Amino acid sequence: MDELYIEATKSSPLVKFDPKNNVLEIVGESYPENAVKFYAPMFEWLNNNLGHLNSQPLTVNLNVSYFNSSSSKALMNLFDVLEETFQKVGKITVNWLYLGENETAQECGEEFQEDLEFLPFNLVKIENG
Amino acid sequence: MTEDLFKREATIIRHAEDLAASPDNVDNPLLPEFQSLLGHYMKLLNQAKRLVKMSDRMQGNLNILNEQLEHLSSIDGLTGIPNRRHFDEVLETELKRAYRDKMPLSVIMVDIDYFKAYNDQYGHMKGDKCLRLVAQTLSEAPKRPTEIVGRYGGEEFVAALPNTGMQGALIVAERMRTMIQDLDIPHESSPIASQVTLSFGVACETQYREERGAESLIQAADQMLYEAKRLGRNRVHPVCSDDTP
Repeated sequence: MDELYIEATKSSPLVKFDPKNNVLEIVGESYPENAVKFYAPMFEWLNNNLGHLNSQPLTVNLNVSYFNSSSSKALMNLFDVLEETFQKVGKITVNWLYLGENETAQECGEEFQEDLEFLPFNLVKIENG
Repeated sequence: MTEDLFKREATIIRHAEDLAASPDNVDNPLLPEFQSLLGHYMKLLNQAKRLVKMSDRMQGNLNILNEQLEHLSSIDGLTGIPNRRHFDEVLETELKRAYRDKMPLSVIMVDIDYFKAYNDQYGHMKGDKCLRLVAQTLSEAPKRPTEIVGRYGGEEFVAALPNTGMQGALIVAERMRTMIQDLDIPHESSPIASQVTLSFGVACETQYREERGAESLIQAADQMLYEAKRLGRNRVHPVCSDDTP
């Protein structure tokens, strides 16, 4: 699978795929001016690469503490794509990481989790630091 | 809450379900496609509900942060009492009200006597402590909730007293003066007393005079403060007398 790297800015998260470990990461806050434009390269990457999931399972780690409405829609679209692939070939796990004290991030993780039927979606509490 | 918000969508779903269940449509070749589309619609509707919930939640957090910032930006960091920006805002509002209701409003300008000497002798840490103590004590002097005491800058404080004429304001200023003197904060380098003292200038906007506006009112009180200093400090100026309007 191809590499993917979008550097974080003040208003957009780091989006990164590490082909060695098969880990897709989204880390940071997400309120880009144009969420469609910002997430377009990621969806393009998914489109090109989800067909070639190799024997190693894909892990998706999200640590997004704050996001605007269009970003949350983009994330739902992401989870839909992942769920679709999971139903076909399995081998995908999503981890929603949130800081222990961030109740909002936790509750939003729960909303995403409840919206999914099949895709493994774990809520992972992390300690401050 | 979200159920009421999405009432129309619920009606559409019920209607679609009725259509799908109707005996008239049993043989319709589009029925499977129709049911699949209905399923998608229901899924997307659920997502929309979740998005609204998450968005409200995030916005709620921002609102709380906003209120905290608003509060922080109106408070003087050192003394914890309203800062000049906030005081000026309140004075503008109260003055407008006073003009509208034809009620008096008084302003008291306050300055710590020989504060530079105090700082020089005791150091800035003690100086800050003195400012905090004076600020807290002055804040306790007003009796009504609409009265406000703020830090005007440096060792200067200011009070606005709505619905209070010159007589009343002079009494409040005198009470402030006594309260600070009674604190008995040692001030060895003061040439006029052995403890920290304050000077007060009072100006009043009454219904009898033309409207001066906040800036002129502050200036008038400042002029009175200057007089209080000139006359020897540790006093309120003008002096309380019965013929003052």
